[in-house]
Amino acid sequence: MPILTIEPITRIEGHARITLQLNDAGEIEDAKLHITQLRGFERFCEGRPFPEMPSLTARTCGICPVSHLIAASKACDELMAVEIPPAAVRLRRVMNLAQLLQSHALSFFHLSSPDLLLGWDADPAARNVFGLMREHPQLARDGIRLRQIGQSVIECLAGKRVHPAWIVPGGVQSPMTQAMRAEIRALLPEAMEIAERTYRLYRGVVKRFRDESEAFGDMPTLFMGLVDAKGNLEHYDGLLRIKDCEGNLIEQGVRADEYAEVIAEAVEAHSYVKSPYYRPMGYPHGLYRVGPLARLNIINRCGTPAADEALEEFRALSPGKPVSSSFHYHYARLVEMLFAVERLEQLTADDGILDQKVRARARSNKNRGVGISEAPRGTLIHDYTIDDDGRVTAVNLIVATGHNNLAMNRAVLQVARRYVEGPKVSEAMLNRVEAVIRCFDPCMSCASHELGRMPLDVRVIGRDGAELQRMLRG
Amino acid sequence: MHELVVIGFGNSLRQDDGFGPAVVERLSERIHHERIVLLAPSTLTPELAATLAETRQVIFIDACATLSPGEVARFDLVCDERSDVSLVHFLSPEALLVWTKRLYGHVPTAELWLVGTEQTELSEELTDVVAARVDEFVLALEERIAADVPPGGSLN
Repeated sequence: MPILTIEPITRIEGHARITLQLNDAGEIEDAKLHITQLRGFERFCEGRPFPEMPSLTARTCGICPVSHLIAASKACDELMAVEIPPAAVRLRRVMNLAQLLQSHALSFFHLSSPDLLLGWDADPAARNVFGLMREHPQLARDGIRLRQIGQSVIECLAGKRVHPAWIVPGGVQSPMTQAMRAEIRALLPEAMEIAERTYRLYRGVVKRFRDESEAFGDMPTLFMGLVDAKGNLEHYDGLLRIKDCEGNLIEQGVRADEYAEVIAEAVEAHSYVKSPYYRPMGYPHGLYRVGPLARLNIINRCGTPAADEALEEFRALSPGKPVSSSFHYHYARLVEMLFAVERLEQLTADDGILDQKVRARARSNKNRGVGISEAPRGTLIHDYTIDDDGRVTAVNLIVATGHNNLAMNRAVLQVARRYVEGPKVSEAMLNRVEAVIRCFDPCMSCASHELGRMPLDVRVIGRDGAELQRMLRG
Repeated sequence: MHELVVIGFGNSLRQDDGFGPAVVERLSERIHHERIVLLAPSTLTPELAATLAETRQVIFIDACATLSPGEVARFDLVCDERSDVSLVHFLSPEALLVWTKRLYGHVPTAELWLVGTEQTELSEELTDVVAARVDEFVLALEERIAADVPPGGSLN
C-alpha cells in the first residue's frame, strides 16, 4: 500500500469545546459544541479503487467498523449493479446486530449507567465505572459479558473482532457453517437474560429522571431512520422515513440514491463536523435526530415480541406523540438490545443462512453508488462516485453524529439555560452538559465519553465578545 | 484457566503502530496451544477483562513513539488501583488490569513489551527497523512459552 500524506494533520482526538454566549442580562443566549478533530476520510479515499472502500472506511471507527463495512459494501453493490445472495444479506444482518449489541452495551453499561445509577451530583471521582462496580457489580459484569457476546459473534463470522474484512462488495467472504451457527446460537439465551434484566432495572429507575427528561434536549425536531417494507424497525436495509415531533409522516419511502433530495449539509466555522439538515425546511431549522430514539419514534413496530412489548412501554412516556427528550436515547438503546437478540435468534434459526452462495462478483457497472444502513448511533450514508476505471472520484460520508450535530448543539443550549445562572460555571453544570452529549453517544471523539472527566473547554463569552470565564477540564 | 494471553495491539494501517498485531500474526502461524490465547485488537477494550480474569499471565505488545526507532523495552506491570483507569472507548494495559481485579477479583502476571516506532503514516508495511524486531519478539515469546507453559499444544 503506498504511503499517503495528509495535510494538515490536525487530528485532535477527544476534545470538545463548548462556548456559552451571554446576553446583557447575563443569561445564556447561545451555546455551541465544537468538535475539533479532522479525519479527512472523504478526501483521502479519492483515487482508490472502489473495492477498497469497505476496508478503508471501516477504519473510521474502532467501535462501529461493521457499520462502515456495511454501508460501504452496499454502496459498492450499487456500483457493481448486483443483487447479492440472500444468505449474504442474512449474514450481514447478523453481524450488524451483533455490533449494535456490543456498542449499545458499551454506551449503556460503562459510559452512561454511572450517571443514571450513581447520580448526577455525585463526586466525579466516584461517578464512574468503578463506582458502578462497587454499587452494582452484577450490572458491570453484565455489560462486559454482553459486549463480549456481541464481539464473539463478529469474531465467529469474520475471524477477528475489530476491523473484520469479511463483509465485501457483493456479499460476504465466506458462508456460515453449522458449527458457527451453533456457536452463535449458544450465546443468545444468556444475552437475552442480560438484556431483559437490564431493561427491567432501567424501567425501575427511569421515573427518577423527570427533571433531566425535561431539560436534556427535550425539543421539537424531526426524526429520521430506515424502516422495512412494513414500516418496522430496520438496521440493514429499507427506506428512509422522517416524522415530525407530532408524529406526522413527513417523508417515507426515500431510497438511498434519493437521500440528497431530503438531506443537505451545512458547514459551520466552529466545528469540523458537518451539520446536515432536512432540505425542505432549510438550515438551521431543519434539524433532526437519528439513532435509537429516532428509530423507535418513526417505526410502526419492532417486529419481535419482547421488543414490541418494551416499545409500548417506551411510547407510554409520550402518549400519542414521539418521545422528544434526548434523555430517552438510553431507554431506546435498551429496547434495541432486546430486539437485536431476538432478531439474531430469528435469523440464525433460518436454514437459509447456511447457503453456500454468499457473494456476487462483478466489475463496476455504474458511476454512482449510495449505501445506507443504521449504525448503533444512527443512519449512516456512504455515497461514492467513480470513474470508468473504477477509481473513486468523490466520497460523501454522513455519519450518525453528523446527523445529530444540530440537535446536540440545541441540547447543550437547553441544558445551559436550565443549569447555568450568570457567568459562573459550576461543576454540576459541567456534569450535565457532559451527560446530555452522552445521551447521543457521539462517536467522532472517543474521549467525549470519558466519565466525569470529559475533556471540556467551556468558555463564557459576554455580549462584547470578551471572555468572562474559561473552565478547562481534562 | 489460560496459561498465557498475548495481546499485540495497534493499528495495522498505521505502519509501525501495527507492530503488535504483526507479532501476534506471525506467532499464530507457529503456535497452537490449547491454553494460550493470541489476540490482535487495535485497542484494548473492556471485555478483555473477562479474558484476563481467566489467565495466569498476559503479555501486552505495543509500539511506542517515545522510544528510539527499533529500541526494545520490557516492563513488569502491576495492578495499581491509583492509576488512571478512565474509560474512553479503550483502555491502557494498566487500566485493564485494574478493571480485571475490580470486576473479577483476579489479576494475571503482566508484562508490557514495547518497540520504538520510526513512522506511523498510512501504510500496512512496517518500517525496516521495526519489522526486524518482529521475529525477535516471536522468538522471545516461543522461548517464554517453552519455559513457562506446560505442554498442551504444538510448536510447529
